[in-house]
Amino acid sequence: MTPLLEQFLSESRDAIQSIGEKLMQLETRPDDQALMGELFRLVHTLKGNSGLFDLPEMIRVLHAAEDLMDTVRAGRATYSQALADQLLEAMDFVLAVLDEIQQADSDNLPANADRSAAAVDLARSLQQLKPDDDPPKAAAASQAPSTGESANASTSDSTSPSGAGAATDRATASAAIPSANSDLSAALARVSEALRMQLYRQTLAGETFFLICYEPEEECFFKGEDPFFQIIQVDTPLWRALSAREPWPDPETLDAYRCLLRFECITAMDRDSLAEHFRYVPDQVQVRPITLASLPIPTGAAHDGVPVADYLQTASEQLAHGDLPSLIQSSRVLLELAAPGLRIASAMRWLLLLLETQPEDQALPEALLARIRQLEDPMAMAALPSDSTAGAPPVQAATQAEAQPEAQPTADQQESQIPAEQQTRRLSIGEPLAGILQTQAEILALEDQPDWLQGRLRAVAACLRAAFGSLGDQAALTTLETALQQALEQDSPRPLRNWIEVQGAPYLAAIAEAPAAFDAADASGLSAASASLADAAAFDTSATPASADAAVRATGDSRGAGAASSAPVGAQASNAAGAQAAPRKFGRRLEDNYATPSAIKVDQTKIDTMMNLIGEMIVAKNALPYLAARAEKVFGVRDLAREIKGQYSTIHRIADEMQDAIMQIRLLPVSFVFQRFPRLVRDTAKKLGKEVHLVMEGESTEADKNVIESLADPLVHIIRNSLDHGLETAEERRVAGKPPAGQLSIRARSESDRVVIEIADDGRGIDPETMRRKAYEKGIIDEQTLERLSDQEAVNLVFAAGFSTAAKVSDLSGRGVGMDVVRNAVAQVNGSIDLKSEPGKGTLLRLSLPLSMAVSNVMIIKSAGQRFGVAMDAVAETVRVPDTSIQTIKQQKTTVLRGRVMPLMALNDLLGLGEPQVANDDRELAVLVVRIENDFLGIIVDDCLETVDIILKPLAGFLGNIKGYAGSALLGDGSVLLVINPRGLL
Amino acid sequence: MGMDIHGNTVVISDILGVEEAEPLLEWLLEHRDGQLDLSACHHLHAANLQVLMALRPTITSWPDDPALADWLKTAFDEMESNHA
Amino acid sequence: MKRILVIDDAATVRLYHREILEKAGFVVDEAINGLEALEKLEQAPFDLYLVDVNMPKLDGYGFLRALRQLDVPQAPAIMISTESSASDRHTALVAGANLYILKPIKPEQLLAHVQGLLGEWQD
Repeated sequence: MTPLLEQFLSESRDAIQSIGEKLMQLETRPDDQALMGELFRLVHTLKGNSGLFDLPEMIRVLHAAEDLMDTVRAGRATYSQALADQLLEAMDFVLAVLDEIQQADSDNLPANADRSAAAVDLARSLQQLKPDDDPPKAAAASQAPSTGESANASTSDSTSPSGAGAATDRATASAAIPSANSDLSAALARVSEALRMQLYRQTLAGETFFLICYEPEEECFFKGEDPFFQIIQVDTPLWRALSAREPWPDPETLDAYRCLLRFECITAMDRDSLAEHFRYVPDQVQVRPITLASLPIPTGAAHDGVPVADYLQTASEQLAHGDLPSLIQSSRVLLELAAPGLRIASAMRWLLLLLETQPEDQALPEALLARIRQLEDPMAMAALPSDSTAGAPPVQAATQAEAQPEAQPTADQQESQIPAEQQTRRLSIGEPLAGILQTQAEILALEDQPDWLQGRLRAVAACLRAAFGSLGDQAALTTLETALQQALEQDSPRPLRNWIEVQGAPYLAAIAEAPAAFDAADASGLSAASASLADAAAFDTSATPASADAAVRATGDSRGAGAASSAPVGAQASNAAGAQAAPRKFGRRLEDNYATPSAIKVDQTKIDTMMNLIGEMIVAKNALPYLAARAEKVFGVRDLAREIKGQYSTIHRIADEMQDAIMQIRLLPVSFVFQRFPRLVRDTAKKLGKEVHLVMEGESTEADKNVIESLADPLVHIIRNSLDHGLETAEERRVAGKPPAGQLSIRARSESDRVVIEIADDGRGIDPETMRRKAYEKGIIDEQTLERLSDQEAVNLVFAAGFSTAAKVSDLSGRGVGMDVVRNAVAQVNGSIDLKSEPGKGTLLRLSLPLSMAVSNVMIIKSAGQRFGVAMDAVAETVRVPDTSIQTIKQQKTTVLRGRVMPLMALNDLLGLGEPQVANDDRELAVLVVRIENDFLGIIVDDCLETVDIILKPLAGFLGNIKGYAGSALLGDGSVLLVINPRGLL
Repeated sequence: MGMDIHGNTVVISDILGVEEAEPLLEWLLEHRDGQLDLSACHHLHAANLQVLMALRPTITSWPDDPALADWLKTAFDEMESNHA
Repeated sequence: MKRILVIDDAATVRLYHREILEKAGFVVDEAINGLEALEKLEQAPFDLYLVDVNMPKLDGYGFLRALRQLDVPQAPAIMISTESSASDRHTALVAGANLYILKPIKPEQLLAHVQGLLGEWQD
């Protein structure tokens, strides 16, 4: 996966996450403008990012979402729950697409009918949430699936054959050019140019045509329909197309009776007849009137050899000035230059037709020119405003073109030494440079006086310096600095404006006088640029040192560029050598400042590898004390033993710190799990028809990734339980005198080396009486226990296997998964859970989990001559019990520990080792007191030894099923230690 | 009935109904180089149309009925250009 | 080597621009909003700024206005936007942008403009 795609996936997921959160927050604060703005920005960013990839469905949905958010933000639509639902659904869809990308490891997903259908549906649903009278956003419509409304709006006009009607139609059509028509145009692009021209002429003459798209539903054959018969009956189609809605399946898997056909045609039938004709299937037929504006679509092969940019510049001006003869003339020239099959030739034919048939109309030719610019000259399109009538540049350019004859005296006033030939030169410059010059001229034409004018002027000068540096026009550069100084002194753009009008004229004129200069431009441009380099020696030394330096920089850059592109003349080369020193040095100094990002993303597996390695290192380190002991006992070198121990303590410290550092990397905030709760609570509560107010605290509390991940399922289950069984409906709550909205709080905090998570609700609580009765009915407890059970113990019965208190099984929490599963899941990560409940007041569940599962502290015990480990978490204490204090009650060994009766079990019995436990010389038995939930149990072992840190590895294969062992670990001396799981033993 | 099989060619006459789509599909699957003579065909049900579009057999003669022929040719042309 | 600051709140966009520009031999730094951009450029000014419009804390317009009032070498700035309207473009130029480009932008387009504004453009 490319880093870009990876970044895209992770950022998109984050964005979707945040969008979900923001929506939740909006639910309680629907009028929060800042929140709304933030939400819009998130959706906007998400869409923007998708635009970098080829993801049409995702963009379609996000576009609709963005559009909707925009109307909400602007106050034209109001936030509602339905809206939030729809947006959430849209985000789910986007997530699904992201998953698909992740899986395919490519942004180039194969087309999928379901996916695109879902996208269309979603986009439509989102759009329907927008108020009807909302004007469609210009950019929106090109992707908007249904533009039927605006198209229909013009129908009533166009059906009227009168001249006035046609005129209105034309106006409507041109106004809608960028929006509704683009969709129609896309469909019409498949129609031959000749036919479209014919349709254009006939429409202009008052006739009306419709484009019909008929997509019969898949199961229509079973309803006795024959769509083919339907469509054949349409009168005299002028054009027709037959295609499949999705690619045909393999012939072997083709279902002849699942209709995949799509019929399209253009007909002159009137709307009423069409409605009558398709009256049984109106929802499957799209009838769109063909507007004049939708017809002029340039079609044909793209070719970038035609000098379109120059042409477009003049064409827009000529059109704006109503200079149709010149426009027709230049268009004919371009048409002749281009091969007939090229798209640009098609565009010219259309333009000529438009000008010929509707000379008084400007909108359509203008739209066509914009379209050509977009198709043939995307670079200039980016640099110039898309709407040529609204922006300043055409006017600006026009003034320059007109002002050219007077430009000479202005230049003289400025005392610049422009070679006479430069005045008459026709320079062809690259489109980006033309765009840059054009835009700078436009900026200089601004009449405002902001505080930042000086900075703006300097920046413009920097751009001009660069552009003219690229062109190698040294003569221009010398005067630029003077002009800049003057502009700064006068606090006015005028000197620079004058400068660009003079210096830019040859270049901008070249754009303006395009067609005539086609052939000669390239060659003369090159030679002229080289010639002007010779003037470089004539530097304007009166300029300030700073600006001179800047000029030198620009010169140096242009030299570098020149050397790479073509052969420099000898004299220039030597000139360049001197100039180059400065920029190079400048560059290097800056290079040293290279900024590095402060955060890096690391693959999970790499951290796991580090974790494993440090684990091995700790084990290896633990071998050193054994080595020291051997050195002393076996080889009798005490000094060496002492040194080894010294080294050991150093390595021990470093390894510990390192382990700690690695653990820090693995830490995740609990918000990783918490973040999905608002949605979960919201959706669940809605399903149950309850009102719930969720409070979350301590989301930044951190714990090891594994611990956090293991939390997810138990917590979800607990929350569902609370919502389902704990909290009452608003009605029940009202009766009980509580506020109608129930409160569910989830709080996390760290307590020494553990994370504590509390989930509390203020619901009906757990009634110990009910628990007792249910447990008894289900046979979980016997009659005797029933009476002996304390209230707390009764409540704890929810954790008993096979217990479910809900009177009726709901589809949410009552799936046969009880709290026992939750408890086991928590226990699996060495966590504990306890529960407090007060009937009528609520329930509190408290989870306590270790910060990390990676390293466990175990106590080594001896039994039947073997060594075992027991997690220290489970060990409450170790005691020596004289065999005389052990009584046997009902075949159960017990002892009294601090006034409390504690059952005792022999480890050898539990493990089936078939040996009696060995007491020490004082006839005392070693007893390991383990805590299992809230009960204590004594396990008799032969001896308790030291505690060690180990990396616990779960038992693999069939051994994994043995519940009595938590896993195994490697000890420093290379032996394997089996670690007992006391709970599993019972 | 609208299907008459002559060796490797199916001659369609009159109207080819919806119930013929399955047999037509099966025959075309068995005869991948099978040909169709549609000259006497006045109409075929849309289900047959999509079988023809999906399997693209060779058409030896187009229907005499111009409206039907135009639509069918469009279907086949479109595919030619799409597959080109 | 010219230094370019890419200012965008979307990490994907920043990476996209970084990859294009670094491949062409530019040194690229990133800022996630206008405020961070100002902090970075006050330490060492850049030769060119690529500026997104919509950003939290300080948006592209605000950044440009602030930049143009600073006592630093005034380098060219390209504003990259999704809005194609003339008024949005006007606002950008008034604020101090030197070019206004529409998203999504193709690599060769971006490079051509950057090189043009840095005096490194070649036909």
